[in-house]
Amino acid sequence: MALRQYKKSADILTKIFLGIVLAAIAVTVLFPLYYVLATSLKAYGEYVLNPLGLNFSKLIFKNYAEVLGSKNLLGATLNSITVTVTGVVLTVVFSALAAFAIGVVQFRGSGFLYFIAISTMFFTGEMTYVPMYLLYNKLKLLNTYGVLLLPYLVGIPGLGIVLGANFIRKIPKEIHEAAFLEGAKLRNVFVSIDLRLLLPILSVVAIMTFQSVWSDFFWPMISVMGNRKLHTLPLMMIGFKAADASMYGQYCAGLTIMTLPIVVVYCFFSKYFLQGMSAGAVKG
Amino acid sequence: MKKTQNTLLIRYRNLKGWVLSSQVVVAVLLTMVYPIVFSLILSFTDLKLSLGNIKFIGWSNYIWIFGRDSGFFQALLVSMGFSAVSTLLQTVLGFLIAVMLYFMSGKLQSFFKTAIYLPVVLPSAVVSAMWIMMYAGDEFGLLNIIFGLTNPPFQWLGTVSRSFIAVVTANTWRYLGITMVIYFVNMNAVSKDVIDGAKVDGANKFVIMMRIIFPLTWSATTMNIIMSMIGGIKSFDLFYLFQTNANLTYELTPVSVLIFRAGLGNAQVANIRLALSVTMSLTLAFILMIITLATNKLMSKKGDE
Repeated sequence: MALRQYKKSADILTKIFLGIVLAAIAVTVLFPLYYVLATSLKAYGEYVLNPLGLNFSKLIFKNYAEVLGSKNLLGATLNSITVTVTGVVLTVVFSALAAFAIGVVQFRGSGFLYFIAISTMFFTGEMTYVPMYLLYNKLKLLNTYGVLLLPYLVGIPGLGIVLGANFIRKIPKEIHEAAFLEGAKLRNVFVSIDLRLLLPILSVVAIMTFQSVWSDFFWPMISVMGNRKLHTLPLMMIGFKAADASMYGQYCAGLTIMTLPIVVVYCFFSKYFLQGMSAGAVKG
Repeated sequence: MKKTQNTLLIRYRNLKGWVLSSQVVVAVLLTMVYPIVFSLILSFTDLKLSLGNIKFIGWSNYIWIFGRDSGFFQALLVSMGFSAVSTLLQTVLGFLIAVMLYFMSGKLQSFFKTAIYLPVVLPSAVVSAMWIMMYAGDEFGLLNIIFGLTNPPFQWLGTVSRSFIAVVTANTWRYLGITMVIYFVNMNAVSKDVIDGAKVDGANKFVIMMRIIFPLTWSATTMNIIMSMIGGIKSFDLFYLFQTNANLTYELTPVSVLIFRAGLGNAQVANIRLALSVTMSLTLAFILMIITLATNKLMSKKGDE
């Protein structure tokens, strides 16, 4: 193995060098996150003395208690959870149905529907918000709970369709053929075959939806700004300016509450995130 | 057509198919067809936020946008400049980091990949809050603490050009992971034989990177450039949040923020002409479409050569 011999010392040196450079980049990337977490665990006095470091014997959870004790933030957290759960459940259900219809049933017009679903990538909420605002205004839904949830009822499950339909088409068609030849009903095939096969795809969809709904501040800002009770966590955090450094602890506690769920999910399912992202990229 | 070959035995296939995807149909009509058609109509009216009587006023909105005092071109310039610089940075850095990852292996590789991608999944409210704390122009500004610039505190958002660099930096921090991962995935699709062959021939890592990996991942470059360019031009969150929470200068108002401020973002002013906001949205969508098609065409030609 000439190749093995060629490697060795020069290679090890390059690896160490690469490791150091990458470690520096990783530290730069992770530092702001560390800072927010550390600040949220410090009393103001401790923060002033030691703004960057972390003294483990002086960690406190007072900031969290205060933040969660205030009705506003607790309410916003609950709103965010409701909206996110609704968004994820609806999107996953509609993704599964549409992927099954387009991938398995293959009705006349399914190709066209698939194409439309892909092209939705081009439009963002910021471009179509005025007509949607006018519509919900006309329906007298602005500043109600409905306007926070409805977008997911009438949202196009683009990612689910693209990933799901493509995935189903790659399944050997004999599986479906056999089921239908034996007279299985469409409903049963969907539940006992495709829903199971689609599970990994639906997980990707769920995670991507969770991330985007949980983070979204634009639509709540447009639609429920006038009703404080309906503010979600991101909407609340963007309206909150840390007036002076004495508020930093609580501010960072709020930010951590908002960030933690996503980071935890990401750490467990980073593979799904990367998969969903590259699929989204292919669509665009 | 090939569809008929794959057809399964399903009774009432078309009916059932449409029923199953009825939500998609409603969604497309309501969130795509309706906004686009309605926007087109609105762009020829004088619709105001107060929603009084609406008159058709012909091309006036379009003429106003392309006139001098609309600020549309200045904002477009900001968006495009921001997009160009961010795209360059993200593509070059993304490529370099992906190559470094490529030459590593095992657990460290996946740790670095996961870490560098992490900011991509963070809410923009958090990203902007973090960077506003970094840039804070007082003695608690993080960068001021790190670099010992507390007396007097350095104003990271003090001038237009500094502010521009500040937003670009925050944006690159946030999205670098995407370009990196797209490159990384494409690099791993390059056949190992090609690279091993080059190694046997005595090529060093730099040569391999420039002469083999770079040309063979051209499709990733195309995708990255198009994505970062469009993302950059549409960019809204960071600019908007920096302006509302950190007094970022209004000279750095990108089109998306201008569109928002010309419409609902300024809801106190009831006689604001909502139709102008809609018209700018449509114009921006049109410009984006042209840019995407043009870039795609240019880059794919170069790839064929």
